[in-house]
Amino acid sequence: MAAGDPVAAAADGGPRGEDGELIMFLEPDQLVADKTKPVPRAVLSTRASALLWALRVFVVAVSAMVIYTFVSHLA
Amino acid sequence: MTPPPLIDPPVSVDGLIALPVPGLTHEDAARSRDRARVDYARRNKHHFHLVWLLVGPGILAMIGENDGPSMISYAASGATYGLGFFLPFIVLTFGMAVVCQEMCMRVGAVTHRGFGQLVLERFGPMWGWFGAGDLLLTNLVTLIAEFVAIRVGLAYFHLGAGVAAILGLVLVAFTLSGGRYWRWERIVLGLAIFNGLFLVTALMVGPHWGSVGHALVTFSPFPAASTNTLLLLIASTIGATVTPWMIFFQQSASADKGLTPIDLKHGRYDTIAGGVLAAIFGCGALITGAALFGHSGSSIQGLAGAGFPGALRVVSGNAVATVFALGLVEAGAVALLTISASTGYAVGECLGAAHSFNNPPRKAAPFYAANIVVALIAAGVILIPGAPLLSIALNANVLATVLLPVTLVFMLMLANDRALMGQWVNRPSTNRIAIVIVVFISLCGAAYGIDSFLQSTHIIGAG
Repeated sequence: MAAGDPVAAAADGGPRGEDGELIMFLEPDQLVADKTKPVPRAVLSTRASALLWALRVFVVAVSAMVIYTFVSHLA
Repeated sequence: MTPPPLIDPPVSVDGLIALPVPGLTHEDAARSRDRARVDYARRNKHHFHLVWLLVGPGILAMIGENDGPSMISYAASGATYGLGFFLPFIVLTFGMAVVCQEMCMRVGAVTHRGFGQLVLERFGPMWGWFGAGDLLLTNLVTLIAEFVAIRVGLAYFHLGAGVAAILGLVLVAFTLSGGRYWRWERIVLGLAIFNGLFLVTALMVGPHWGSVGHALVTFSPFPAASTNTLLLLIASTIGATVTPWMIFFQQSASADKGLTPIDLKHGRYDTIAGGVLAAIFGCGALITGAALFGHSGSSIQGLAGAGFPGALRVVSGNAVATVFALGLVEAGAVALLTISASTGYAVGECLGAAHSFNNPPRKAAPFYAANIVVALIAAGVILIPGAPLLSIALNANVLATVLLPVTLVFMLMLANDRALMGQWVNRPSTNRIAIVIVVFISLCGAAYGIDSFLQSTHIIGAG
């Protein structure tokens, strides 16, 4: 360990006064303050939106069939 | 030189740590301590320690999905059809799971955000809440099944549903009590080791290893069953290996653990190790169940009582039955913890509230409340006299399979989003494999759903 190396000192659990150096172990976008900023909204093409809606309707319909079958078997 | 101590930094009354760094929260400080240890191991080339520090989310997602209903489902396949098609099919589905979960880990490590948060922010609140709604529904049903599995395991030791409910809830409360992601992860990893009990039972029943090898290579003998039963078993097996909660969980846990792009190699080791271990243990459950093949194993109502452990005692002895029953308790308990966590992450992310184990409960109330409430509801259901627990447990995996394609498509879109992922977007080969997986899972889920519906409405006959 190099003398006075703040990273090694902090990783070593050095004096409490060096805790502030711990921030350097996080990437800037790992900080809570940064993560709470929303990422920009993606622009979906009409085709992509239509495909997502089709898939959503498809899984809801099939789920309804599974749930109907489940309930009918209980009766 | 020793690793940094696992202590929390000093916290002031407003929740920010008392350091000269503006805006650094308790969550940031806790995560940075974990990252300091990773940095220390990497700089000093402590390779095994680095692996130890970075594994977790992948193994937990995979072993967590080797849950109670999955292991009973595998054992039931073995008891009904013997060694054959479903043995290599389990391996195949875990291969599919590795492809999907690697994407989750990568997106979480690169963006530092959970799946629910990214879908909500990138594609809008409607899609975000649709995804969270799917997750809540499947998680609730699956958690009921986990409590059922714990109950089945404990029933072998003459313990009732009340003990199963209390044990599960105490476990959830205990693991949530530390206010550190690292502590939570290590406790659950410690419990997950006992998923290996299913490998122990497989060795104890003394299978014919030539038949095991033949089945793994040839996918045969193919089970002689009706089309609907086969579709149910295939859909359940897929639902036992790739599910919406795993995607929410691994991405959020990777972000919560603090993985970064430099950790991607170890994240892949973690995911692959989880897939390999889960496949081995899942095959162990099937091989154990196959000991009952030809001994009326197909007639066992495994979830209605202590069916499998009891039957194993008759055929293979008390030791095998005891280990299998303990395995069921472990499988239910680990899944209870990971699935509750995925619910907490999803709720916190969609509400825009703090969603990290590195926060104390008072700083992340919705996250901790969702963890507890969903477990409480599931525990309450198993205490209802006459509740259709067998049907709920059997349909949990199928429902997860049916709802999975939408989650997988969003996962694919995020993993290909160059604005988010930069150089870490999917490679073309990964996309091709992932698209085949999505289509395959969609077709299997739809085939079972439609065929069952048509039979239930008597539009077609049973076949």
